Amino acid sequence: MIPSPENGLINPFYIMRGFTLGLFGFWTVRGYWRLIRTIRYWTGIGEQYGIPARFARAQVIRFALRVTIFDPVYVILLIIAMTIWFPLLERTLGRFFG
Amino acid sequence: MPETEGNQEEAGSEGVAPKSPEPEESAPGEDAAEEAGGETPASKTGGAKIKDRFKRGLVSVAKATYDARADDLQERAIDAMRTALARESERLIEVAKLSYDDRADDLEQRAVRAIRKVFDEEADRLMSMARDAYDSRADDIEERAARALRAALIHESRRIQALIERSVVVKRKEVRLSMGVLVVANLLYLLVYKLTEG
Repeated sequence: MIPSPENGLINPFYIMRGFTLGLFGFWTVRGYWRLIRTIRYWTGIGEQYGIPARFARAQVIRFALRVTIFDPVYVILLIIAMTIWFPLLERTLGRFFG
Repeated sequence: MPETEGNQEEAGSEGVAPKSPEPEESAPGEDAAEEAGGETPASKTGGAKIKDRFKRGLVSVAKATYDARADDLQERAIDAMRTALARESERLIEVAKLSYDDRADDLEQRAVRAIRKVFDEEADRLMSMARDAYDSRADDIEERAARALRAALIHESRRIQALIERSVVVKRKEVRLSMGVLVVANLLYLLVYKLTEG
């Protein structure tokens, strides 16, 4: 029997996709949370030496951007992942919502 | 020297002992002549001769005695003076030590007072000299301090910059690795999906 919404069975690939998206969301939220904590930490350090908080925040964000989307290899890998995931997402979301 | 002394001693003993009675004997003779009725030229000449001879004898004995013992006397006198000087110097040193021990506190207080007095007298002058020296070199000191601070800041900023660059490289590797793992997993998933679902 082929799993489908009609017969009440769930396709295992959907479970894998859901699990993968869950991991993606968890690590994304955790990454942003760590970024905020890092900005707070370096802002406090900068205040002790008279460095403006805005400047410290900008430097931390610049560091984060340099190691992510300003890295060509990372961008290529990201495009590959998006290329894989957009059709899957479209198909999955279309199956559930449309 | 001993021979001389012996001779002179003999001469002295011989010269003084026999000749000394002569004037004593002649003196009463003269006195007797004077008492007898007047002075005779012969007796006067004889007495004078004896007197002269006695005087000469005495002088020669004294000279001989002095000459014989002059060196010895000199040496004894020098030794005595040396001994006396040594004793006196030791005594003086002891006295000085005792005086210093007795008055050390007083001397210290006096020295402190003297130094304080000199300092009080010279303090204004020294302060004005220091102030003038500082005023004349303040700009130079400021420039040097600014240069040193700037150099230290440049050095520190270069060190921080190198540290940040190293951190960026390390973090980039981590991010690439995690993204690569994600892409490989997705490709595997896609492959399995295509094989099973068609």
